[in-house]
Amino acid sequence: MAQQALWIPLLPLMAFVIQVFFGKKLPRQGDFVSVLAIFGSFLLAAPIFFRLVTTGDVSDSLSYTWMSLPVGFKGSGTGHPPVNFEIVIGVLVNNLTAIMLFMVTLCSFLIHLFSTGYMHGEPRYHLFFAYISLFSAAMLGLVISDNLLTFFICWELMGLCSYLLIGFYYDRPSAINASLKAFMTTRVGDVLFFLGITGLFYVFKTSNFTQVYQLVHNEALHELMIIGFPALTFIAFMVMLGTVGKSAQFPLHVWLPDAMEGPTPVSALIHAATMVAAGVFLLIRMYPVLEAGHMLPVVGYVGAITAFLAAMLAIVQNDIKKVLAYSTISQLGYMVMGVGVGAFAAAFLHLVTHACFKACLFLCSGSVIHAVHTQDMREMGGLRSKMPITFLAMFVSTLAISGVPFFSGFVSKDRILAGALGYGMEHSQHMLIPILGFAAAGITAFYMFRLIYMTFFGHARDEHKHHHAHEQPAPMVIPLIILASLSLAIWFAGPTGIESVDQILPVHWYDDAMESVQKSMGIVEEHSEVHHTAHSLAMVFSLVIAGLGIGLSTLMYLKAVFNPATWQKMFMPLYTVLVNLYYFDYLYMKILIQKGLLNFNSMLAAFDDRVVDRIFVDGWGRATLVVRSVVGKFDDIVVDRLMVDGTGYGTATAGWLVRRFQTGQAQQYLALMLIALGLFTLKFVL
Amino acid sequence: MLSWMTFIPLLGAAVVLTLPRQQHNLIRLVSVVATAIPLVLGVVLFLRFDRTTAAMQFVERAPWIASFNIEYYFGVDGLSFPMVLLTVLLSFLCIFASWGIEKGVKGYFAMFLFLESGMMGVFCALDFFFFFIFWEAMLLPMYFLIGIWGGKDKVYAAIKFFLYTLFGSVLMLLVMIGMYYYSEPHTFDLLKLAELRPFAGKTLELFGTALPMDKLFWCGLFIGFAIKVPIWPFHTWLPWAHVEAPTAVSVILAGVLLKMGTYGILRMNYPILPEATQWASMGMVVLGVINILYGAFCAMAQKDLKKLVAYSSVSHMGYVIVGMASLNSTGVNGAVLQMFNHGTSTAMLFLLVGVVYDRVHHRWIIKPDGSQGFGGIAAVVPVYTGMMALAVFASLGLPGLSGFISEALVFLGAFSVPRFQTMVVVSSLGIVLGAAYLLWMFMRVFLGPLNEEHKDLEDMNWRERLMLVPLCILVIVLGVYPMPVLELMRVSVAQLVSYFG
Repeated sequence: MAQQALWIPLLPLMAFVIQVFFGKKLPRQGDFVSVLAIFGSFLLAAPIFFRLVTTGDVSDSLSYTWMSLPVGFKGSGTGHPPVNFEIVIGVLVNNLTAIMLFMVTLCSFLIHLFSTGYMHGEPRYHLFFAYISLFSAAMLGLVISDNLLTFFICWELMGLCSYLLIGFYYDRPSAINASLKAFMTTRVGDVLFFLGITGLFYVFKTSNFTQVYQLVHNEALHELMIIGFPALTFIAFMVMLGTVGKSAQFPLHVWLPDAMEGPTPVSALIHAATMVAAGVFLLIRMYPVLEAGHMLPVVGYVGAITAFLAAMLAIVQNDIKKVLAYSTISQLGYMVMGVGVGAFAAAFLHLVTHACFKACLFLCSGSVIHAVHTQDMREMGGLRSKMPITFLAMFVSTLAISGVPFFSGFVSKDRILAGALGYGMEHSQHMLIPILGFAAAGITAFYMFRLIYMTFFGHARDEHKHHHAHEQPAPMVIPLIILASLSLAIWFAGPTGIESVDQILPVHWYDDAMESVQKSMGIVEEHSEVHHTAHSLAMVFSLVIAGLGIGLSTLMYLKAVFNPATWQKMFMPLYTVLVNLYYFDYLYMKILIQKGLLNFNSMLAAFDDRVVDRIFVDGWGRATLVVRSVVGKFDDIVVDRLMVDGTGYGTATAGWLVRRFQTGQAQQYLALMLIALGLFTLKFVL
Repeated sequence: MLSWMTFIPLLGAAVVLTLPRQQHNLIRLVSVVATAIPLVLGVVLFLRFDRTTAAMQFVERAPWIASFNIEYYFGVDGLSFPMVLLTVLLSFLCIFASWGIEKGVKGYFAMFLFLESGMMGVFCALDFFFFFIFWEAMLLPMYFLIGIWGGKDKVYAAIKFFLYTLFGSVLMLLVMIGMYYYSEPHTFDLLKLAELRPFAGKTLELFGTALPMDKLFWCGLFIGFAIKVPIWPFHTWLPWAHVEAPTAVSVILAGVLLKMGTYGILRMNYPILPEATQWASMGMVVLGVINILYGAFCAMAQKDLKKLVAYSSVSHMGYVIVGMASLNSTGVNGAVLQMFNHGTSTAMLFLLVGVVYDRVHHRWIIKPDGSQGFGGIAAVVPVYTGMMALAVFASLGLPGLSGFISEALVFLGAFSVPRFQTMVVVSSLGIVLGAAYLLWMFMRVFLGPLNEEHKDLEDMNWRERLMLVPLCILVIVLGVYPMPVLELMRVSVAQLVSYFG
């Protein structure tokens, strides 16, 4: 089974290679290669998933030695056999993997299919398919990874694909700015995540999930410290920051709304259904480490705050894709919160249900954009009759995301909120987490219905655009229908109470699957009395709050009982803050990067050029020149003139003197000799 | 075999000098052959290289100046062999990158071949004196290649390079003589010195103070090598030399010459002076981190493509220093692998910058008058853009490409030393910055609306594609499966780190 799972990412990877090199020359620019590859992956993933549904548990693994480095020798000296540090990579198929594989391949396949219609006639059509194939390969590779290192590699490759796809229209400055921003923001999280992985290797000497789950309970390892923090806390914190980057949690959420510059199928695939979910998947895989590092409350707050703040931002957006982008951030916040409060199974369920309904929402918005050629909801309206299937699909998924009973979002969100409430009731100092969670639920229902009303109901605000709108061809509509049907609660809800139905459908599949996974990871989920009460309470609360949100939205945008404009005036300061996105972008771009980083760079470069190079290095040269001229002068005046030439002069003078005596006259010599002799005699006598 | 690999280029240089001045194609052909033979021999050695031993292989040894115990002594082990491969490969590719040289063709290729001999000798020589001769001999062709075939400020750059490196050489010379005199028996044999390790605990009287001999020697050698790496603050010759040098010479400079510094430290400082190395390791980590960050910050401010790549080299060599300083197997393997991987990825970057420079004769990201130098050229040169993207992503350490593995090993290695952990955390900022300056450059040059000035830009021709394809393949293959190179070095590295217990 692991062998089979290994092929799931390899098929799209091969499609990527084919598309890059030959795509342009193939008929239809090779889009069928990518579609078939991902369909093949789906066909491979489906049996694994059905095995899970029928038997309740799948598990298999496979491993290869990727790198092996001798770190020392048994005994001393090179003659002895080496002790190796091995980096082992492989495939881990368990229940989580099986569910993820099925969900990702299905969504991905449908989005591929949709893209054949949506991207038709675009330039670099073949490259688009190459990129989304690589993306799917990376996501699937991440899902089957049994260790954090290959997990991280796939994680980064998705970052690359995200970069390439957001900047797909690379002649648009807004698109390339968005792609750079996305890559850099997530990179900050990624690097911190990688530090977490190095920490993991430092503590456990491995990053294999199964081994980590076992070792994490080893008390001796809890004593280790990294830069002054308990090692496990350090690792857990860094891993969480990786999620904060990839899953666009506050304060690194800024890239995701801008990422809507990419083509809409990309938004559906990457920025809703899969890549951002990878961050949550990481938290789920690393749950035992987060727990051991006492990081769960922090995770809970990050998620709750994100869920709330992003939902607020979605209210004031008029771009249909931006609304969905902020709703994605908000929903991801839910999942993160779910992990934080220990509602492990609920968070993972929300990951799956959200992937389906958010993919559907994005594809529907793509269908609308394709029809009316605008993303501004103020130019839409009344599209219900023109695009009935799109409307229906989008309406169903909106019901799901808003948490209306009988739809998938209700099931998963209710479980998360129940978990959060239970957690808040047990630890009353953390009551803020469920409060933010419930508030976000209401706001979600409000802005999603605002979107539906502004787009599909009322009168057409732009007659011209409305006139040209029409329903899309089959490859674009079929994915909508399938995804919308997955937004029904029936697939996830558990026992319905109706015996005939419960007997036919494997209603317990999800809970059974989670139970064995949690056992294998060593997670104990709370089933106390408090949680039981919380569950009933939460159900009531979430129904009431969702109803309030929908009701208010209906009154404002459908019935026009309240005028949104007056409300906007009433909350002007809040509105200003929201329209300016809490000034995060301003802080990052204007202050941190433009004022801070770029100025610092120029200063440092100038320092390097003028001080280090010109003064420090060339200074030596100049000093040498000075020394040279001094030494030169010394050489010239003292050594040469005085000493050398001086010697010469001395010699010359001596010679001149001596010459005086050398007259060649014998009498004179004789006289001198006599004088000398006389002097000697005199000396002896005296 | 190693002698053939070393001296065939020199022979080629001699042949080139005898050819008539006007026979450009003949000169180029001779150069191709003279670099192809070492490459082929390199591949043969790669296949024959024994991956299970740390001992020197393919040894060639003969007494040379017997009265001073100086030997003709060649051999390679896991540390030097990857560098030998890098040298023969890049030299061969650079001949093709030099195809466009029109001025003084004969002199250029003769110098270039001479340079290859010098580099080979440095990596193969195992006698300090012999090593030193190659080390110095290499300076000469480099000086002329920059000074004659360079850009606007070529003479300044060449003299700066020459004097700076010479300064390092003087220190090295002093240490070399010191090692000879204080070893018993007097020897220049590096392996013998590593075996005897005679300098620990001794003192040397200098200016009336007694200084620990091994630390003194260590510092002398280190500064000599640090200039070559270059380690901050000895790096400023590098932007000048890179920017002024012709493309092929920049490639050799960044691809091979920089590694000589780190190779020298691993070959001499580590095995001969292990105690001093341990003493200095914290300092090395600090310098390495400074290199990483300082180079990255400076790179981000550059307006000249080549200068940006030059500073990125400063930054990337910082990882090598950090990995080396960790003194454990993972870190040192990462460092040596990073030396190799940086050689390929930076060579790609320089070759690609050269490609565009050949066409438009400038390489401004932002021109001095403030306007965009390029912009949007992805639309007209897709193959070039694709290759550049690969080089950029390899260079910024994208997983799946070669740079990631070596940086990851360096991080894992350094992080396993508790006292270095803070520095590792600080240096991780360099990875973010690395992505920032490279992608920002990529965006400003290749993406966005097409700059009308360059709408007729030609895409890469076959010669240019062929010279880049081998590097592309290496970057991808070693990113997915690095063992072919790690296998070469890992036993030697294990032996090296065993000195540090």
